[in-house]
Amino acid sequence: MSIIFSGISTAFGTKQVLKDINFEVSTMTFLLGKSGAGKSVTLKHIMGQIPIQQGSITLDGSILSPQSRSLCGMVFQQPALFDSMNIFDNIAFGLKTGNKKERVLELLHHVDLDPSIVTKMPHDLSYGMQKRVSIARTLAPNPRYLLFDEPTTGLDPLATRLISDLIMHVANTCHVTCLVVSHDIGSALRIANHILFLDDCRIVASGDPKTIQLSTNPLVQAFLGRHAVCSDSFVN
Amino acid sequence: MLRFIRELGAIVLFTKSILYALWIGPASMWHEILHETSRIFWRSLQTISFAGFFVGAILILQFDTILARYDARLYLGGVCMSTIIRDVGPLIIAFLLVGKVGAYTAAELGTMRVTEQIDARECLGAESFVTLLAPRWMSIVLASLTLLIAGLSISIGGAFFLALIHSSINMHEFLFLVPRFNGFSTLGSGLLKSFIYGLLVATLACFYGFYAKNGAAGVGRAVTKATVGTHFSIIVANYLTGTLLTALEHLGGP
Repeated sequence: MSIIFSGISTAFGTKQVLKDINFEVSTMTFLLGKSGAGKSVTLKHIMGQIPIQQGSITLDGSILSPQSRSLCGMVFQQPALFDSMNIFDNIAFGLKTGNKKERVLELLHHVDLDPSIVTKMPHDLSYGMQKRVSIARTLAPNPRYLLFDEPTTGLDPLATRLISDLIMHVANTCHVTCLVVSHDIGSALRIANHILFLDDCRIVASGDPKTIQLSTNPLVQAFLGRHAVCSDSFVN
Repeated sequence: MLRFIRELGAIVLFTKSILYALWIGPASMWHEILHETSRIFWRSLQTISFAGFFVGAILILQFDTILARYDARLYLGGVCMSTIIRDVGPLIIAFLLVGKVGAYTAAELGTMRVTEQIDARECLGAESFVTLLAPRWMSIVLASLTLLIAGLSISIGGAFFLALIHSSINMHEFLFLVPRFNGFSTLGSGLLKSFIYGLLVATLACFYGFYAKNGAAGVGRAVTKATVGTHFSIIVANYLTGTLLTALEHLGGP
C-alpha cells in the first residue's frame, strides 16, 4: 500500500512549482517546506484538483485514476465543514450505503468526540472540535490513504499536540497511510516515520526523523531550530 | 475586450456543463430542486410583493398625470398593464431578484469555495456540477420565473388599487381597454423576459460565486461582479428581446 511520485514536474505559467519530484509515501510521511514551496500542490495532484503536467503518480501499483482516488481522503487546512448541515449530515456526507448512524457514532468515537454533538451545527463547536469532525468526515468512506493539508497551522501548542496525537491514533486504529503537509517540525519529529523537505521545487532532504535531525541542509537546519539542540540526545 | 470575450466563453461553457449535469443527474435531484425553489420563493416573496405593489402604483401616478391632460383616463388601465407586463415590471422585479437571490447565491457559493467546502465535497466524491450547481441553478431559474409572475400580478393589483383611489375611475373604466392593449403577445413578452432574466440571475450568480478565490475580499469581488454583471446583462437583454419582439409583432401584422 503506497503512493509513489515519479518525475512530477508542475509549473503555473512561467513559475515552476515542482521539478522532477520522486518519493514514496510510507505509513506516516510528513512533507515540510516553506510557504509557497509547492507542498499543497502535491496533495492536489493526488486528489485531482490540479492536473499532472509531467511524470506520474501510482497508487497501489497502478496509475492514479478517478476510481483509485476514491481510496484517498483529504483533510483540509480549515475544517471546511458544510455549514448548512448538522454534524451528523457532515460526517455521513460521504457514506453511500450501510448503517449511517452506527458508522457516524463509531467515527465520533475514533476522534474522541461525544455522540451528543451530532445534532449541533458546525458553528456551535470550537475550532478544535470542528477539526476532529472534519477528520471523522474524511474517514467515513473508509479511505486507505489520508492526506492532511497543514492540519496544525494556526493552532496553539496544546491543540497542535492534540491534533498530531489524533493523526497518529487514526493512522493506527483505522490502518490508513498518512501524508501530512505541514510546517510543524515538532509534530513531524514526534510521529512521522518518514520526513521530506521541499525547497526550490525539489526534495532537498529525506529520511526518518533521526536522519533529518543530522541533515546539514540549511533549510532543514533552519526548520529544526530548537529541535536541533536536542538532536544529539535524540540520536544518542 | 479579450478578457470580456474569454469570460463570456467561460460562462457559456459553464452553462453547458450545468445543462449536461441536469441531463445526467439522478431523478432525486428534482426533488431537491423543487424543495429549493419553494425555499427561495417564500424567502423572497415578501420583498417582491412589496416592491411589485409600488411599481404598479408609481406607474399609475405617472400615466394618470399625462393622460388626464388629454382627457384620456380611459386608456389608463390598458396602457399601465401593458407597460407593467411588457417591460417595467419584469425589469424592476428582476433587479430586485439580483439583490435578493443573485447576491445571496454568489456569496454562499463564494464562501463555500474560499472555505474549501467545495473542495471537500469533491474529495468525498460529490461532483459539484451535479450535486451543487445544477440543482441550485435550476431552482433559481424556476423561483425567479414564479417570483416575476407573482411580482407582475401584484404590480397589476397595485396599479388597480391606486387607480381606484387616486384617479377616481371605476373598475369597468380601468379594465375597459385592457384587452385591446394586452394580447397574447404582451403576456408572451412578459413571460419570455422573465424567463431570460431568471436565466441571467441564476447563471451569473452561480458562475461568479463558484469561481471566487482569495478569501473574504474575493467573495466580495464575486458578489459585486455577479450583481453588476447581471444588472448590465438584464438591461442589454431587455433591449434585445424588446427589439426582437417588436420586429416579430410587425411581421405578424396588426
